[in-house]
Amino acid sequence: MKKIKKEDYDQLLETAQFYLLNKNYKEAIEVFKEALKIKEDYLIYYQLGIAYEGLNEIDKAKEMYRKSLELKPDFDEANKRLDELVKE
Amino acid sequence: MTFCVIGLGRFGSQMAKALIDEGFDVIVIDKDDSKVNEFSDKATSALIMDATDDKALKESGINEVDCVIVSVGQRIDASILITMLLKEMGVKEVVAKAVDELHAEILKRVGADKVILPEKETAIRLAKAYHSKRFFEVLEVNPEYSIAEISAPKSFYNKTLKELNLREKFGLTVILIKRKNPYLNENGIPEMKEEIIVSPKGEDMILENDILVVLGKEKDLERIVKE
Repeated sequence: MKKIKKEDYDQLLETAQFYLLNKNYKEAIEVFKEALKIKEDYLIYYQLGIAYEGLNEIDKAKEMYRKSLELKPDFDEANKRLDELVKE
Repeated sequence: MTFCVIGLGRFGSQMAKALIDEGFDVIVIDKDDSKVNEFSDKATSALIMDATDDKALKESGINEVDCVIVSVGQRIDASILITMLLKEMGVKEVVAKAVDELHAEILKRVGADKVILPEKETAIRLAKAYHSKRFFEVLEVNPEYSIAEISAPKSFYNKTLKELNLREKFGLTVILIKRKNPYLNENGIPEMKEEIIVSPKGEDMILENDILVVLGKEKDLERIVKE
């Protein structure tokens, strides 16, 4: 049972990242949020940040990067993105 | 005509860039070397100095300049002192940026030929335009023309600038296109890279979520956001 869940979860992340890299940001956000319901993860929050940034929703992007950093304070990529957005 | 911009904050640096783009000789001055270095290859000269230093200011040859723009951010005392020094040195025209009405009044009294309150003017305009959520930034170039940063309207998506013909239809010129592109970094983690297309050409295409920096009359800029 657990194994199936893990596969589903990985599948969701893969789908969401595919959407993200293809600039289908809205779809990516939907799927990442589904994955979040299963398990909170700093990488999901971070990628949600990227998706919101793609949509130019900067406040939401910052919020997501901050959430990611709450879970993993030394996460370089999130620190970098957040720095850049604060500078803007 | 030669200009000098003292203080390279947001307002000062945008002003200096606009003047350089118009082909004027521009001298820039700031205390912060990183801000000055940004202009080292564009400006006539880029000086790292404290403009409140009477002696340094004289030695910079600033009295030869036709118009000096004082935009030293929030430092009210510094902007007043610099304005006074410039007028004492005989600078023909001093344009000073004020942060509020009182500051503006003092600047006029110490000799500023023109005082601008950009924060106030921009804030009013932004407030008016903001309901559309498409305006990110507005900079007044002169009373007639402004430069605005807007998100591309839906009707522009996947069309080239030539097809859109914005100059004819809206009287607007797209100065640059900003676009964010996601990619996977060496750790397999998505990142964002900003692509900037300066002076886009007719064949350049507007994509979804692009940000456009456009120059035009205020009413035309407002028209475009309603698109």
